[in-house]
Amino acid sequence: MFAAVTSVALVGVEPRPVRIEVHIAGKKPGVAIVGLPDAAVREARERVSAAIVASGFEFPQRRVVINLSPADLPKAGSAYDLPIALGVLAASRQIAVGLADVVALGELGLDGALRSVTGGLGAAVVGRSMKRLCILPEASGPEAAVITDTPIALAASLAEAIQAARGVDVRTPMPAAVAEPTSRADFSDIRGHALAKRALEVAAAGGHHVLLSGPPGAGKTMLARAVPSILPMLDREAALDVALGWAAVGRHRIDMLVPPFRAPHHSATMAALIGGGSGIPVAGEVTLANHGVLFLDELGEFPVHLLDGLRQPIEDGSVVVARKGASVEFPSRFQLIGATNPCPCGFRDDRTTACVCSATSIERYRRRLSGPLVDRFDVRVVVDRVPADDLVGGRAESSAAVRIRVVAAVELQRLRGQLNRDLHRRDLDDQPWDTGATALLRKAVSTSALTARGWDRVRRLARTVADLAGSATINKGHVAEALVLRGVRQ
Amino acid sequence: MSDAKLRCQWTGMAPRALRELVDRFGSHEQVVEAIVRGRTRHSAETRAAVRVPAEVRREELTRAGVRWIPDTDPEFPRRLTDRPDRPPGLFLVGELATGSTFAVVGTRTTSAYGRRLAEAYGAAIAGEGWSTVSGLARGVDGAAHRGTVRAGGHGCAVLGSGVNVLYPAEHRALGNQLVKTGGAIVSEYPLGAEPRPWRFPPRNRIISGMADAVIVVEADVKGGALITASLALDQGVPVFATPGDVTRRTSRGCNLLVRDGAFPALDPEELIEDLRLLVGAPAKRGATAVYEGVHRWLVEALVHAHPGTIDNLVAESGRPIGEVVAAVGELVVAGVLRVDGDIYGTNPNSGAGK
Repeated sequence: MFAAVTSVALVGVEPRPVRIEVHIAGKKPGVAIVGLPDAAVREARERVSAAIVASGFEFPQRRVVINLSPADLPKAGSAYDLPIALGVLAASRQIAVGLADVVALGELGLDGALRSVTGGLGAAVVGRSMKRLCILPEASGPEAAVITDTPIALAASLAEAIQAARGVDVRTPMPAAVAEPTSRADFSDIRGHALAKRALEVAAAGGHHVLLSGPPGAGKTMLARAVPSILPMLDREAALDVALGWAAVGRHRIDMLVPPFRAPHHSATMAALIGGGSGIPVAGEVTLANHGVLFLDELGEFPVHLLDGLRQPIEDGSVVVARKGASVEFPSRFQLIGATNPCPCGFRDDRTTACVCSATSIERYRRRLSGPLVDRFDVRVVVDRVPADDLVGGRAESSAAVRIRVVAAVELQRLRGQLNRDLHRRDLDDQPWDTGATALLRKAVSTSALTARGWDRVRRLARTVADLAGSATINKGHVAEALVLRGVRQ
Repeated sequence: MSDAKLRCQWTGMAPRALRELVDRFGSHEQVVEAIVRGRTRHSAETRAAVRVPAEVRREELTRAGVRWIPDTDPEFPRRLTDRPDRPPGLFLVGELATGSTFAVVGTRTTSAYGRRLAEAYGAAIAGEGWSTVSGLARGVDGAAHRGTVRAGGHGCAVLGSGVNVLYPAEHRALGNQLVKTGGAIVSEYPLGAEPRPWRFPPRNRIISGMADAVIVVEADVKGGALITASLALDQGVPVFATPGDVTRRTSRGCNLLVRDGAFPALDPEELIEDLRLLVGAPAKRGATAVYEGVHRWLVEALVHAHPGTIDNLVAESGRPIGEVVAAVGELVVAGVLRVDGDIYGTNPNSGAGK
């Protein structure tokens, strides 16, 4: 006697269908689970048999072979309890249900209760692609509700799950809330900082990475935290990408359409930042920040190997983490915002407080920040402490108003095919530069205000400034602004 | 109405005192009436002066070849009209400039260095077709006028005496020369007014009020030139100062001005480039052609926030941040501005780096 149920395994952030086959034959009682199960999966036999009995069924006193397929995919956790139980009941002919049409996931209690597990969203994705009903623990409801176009049933126990598989008493999750978030850092709360805000607006419009430097207490963190509020809302597809990334580490975002903001501390490990860990690699901060902002405060305090580790995710938009037995690719298309003090004490450029750093310690600090990573920052501005006088007074422009401009600029780039951050030299050459713009660029290079390396970066920025102005051609003013935002020197 | 104004001004009373009387009695006509009737505490001399009918005064002016323009006249210097202590009108010989005008001022006890530079500035300003205004005094003033006259340009002298009383005597020929070459002699004092010490400081507000920028060539910490500079700042007129030896007494005022944020006035060519920028004239030098179109608002903002951050410049100019950033970028590339951290200031090596 044989039955098969579909469940799901996460490979990185990607959900893949897992087929759970149950075969009952032979007289000698016993249970064998095959197909790369980990310890938690192997323990499923005890939970499943107790839950089956508690739910008023019998656990077959024969030889039960449970195969998790594909056999080469490592499977972990207690999430296969429910599909195994359903498979056993179907194979022993205790229930007559078309199990070919369901995707099931969930941990069973000894009393037959169905408990929450990670991967609910992944199961919904698999259910959608295979056009099957998805049966999940109740707690997975909000997470799975990101997917609105596939049937989902919630169950609190094995018995309810069986009912749901029969198509009786199906409870569906509430659709996920997509309301605009309210309590969030907003540009209108930030006084002064005209240049920094403009720099962030331009950066947001073109997806450029930003380096903010300035003394402690200048407001760098506050500015960075407000960036998601001026970014375009995520579309459904991006929101799903983000939700999958978060679901992979067992987390669920409430404001799912708001671009994520991640601010890992400089004591983070490589695995926490990039992804990894022993066994199957787990997504890191770069993946949680996918389609959003990765903010590294105190950039100079991050160990050099961590900063170097960010190069691949930044360049490729994804990071491949290889471990014995599994190599996983995590998406990592984020906007990087770095904040740094100009020197160890932070007051080197300050106009009121004196710097107490020695020349050598400043030099060491700078060298740390002059690596290849820092070169990726298209926008570099100094953030000064705002004088007390500027802290009082009217509210500044709201994030919503800024976002309208940013959205328009991003839309122009979408029509061209890619974000300005990703424009290559050839694409830049083909942009409509007017004569004033070309002359100013040449002049900047000839006076060594601009290095060859900065050349393309300034041109990318100028493209974004022009997009913000709604201008197809790039003029001298756009280039001049880009030069300042890049941090041009005389 | 302007008749009564002329009659009042001819008494030589201070504009502020006159203003108070107008406030009290309602109009210039009523002020004349009040003085004549002895309802004010004025000397017999003043009463006699105000009695003379305007027609007689106008005839007197015509005979002397002098015009009188009231403060309501379009020719009256624009910046002066905003000041509560503006004169009711100006006495004028010759023609006022219609284009850009720059004040070149400084001490009377100048060094050869100051005289040479003042003359060169005057000539260079004339070479651009602009006008130079100064006070016809000894030292820097005279040298600047001489430069103007030598280059055949338009010059204007503002006096602390009547326009027919050229003072000091050794500059009488120079003053006449200014008028002959198309310039003007201006004063707020009536014909025949003698040069008195208290008449000189007030005329500085007229000098700065006529100018698009004030250039202080050499000055001690006290003196008319620094009064002119601070009046200029009040009026929103940019100030340039020529740096000099730290130990020289007559450079102290200028050096302090530079320290406090005045634009350094260097050799005449540099000065002209900066002034071109100021009035929005196209730059001459090829290398700096990029600041064509960048207007005086940025320079004016720099006067107040110098050196300053971009945020300071936004606050001073009231311009949108994008516009300020773009303008700053052009000027940095052009070498006019330089940046230290996030602080932008004028580049003392401006032009030398090309």
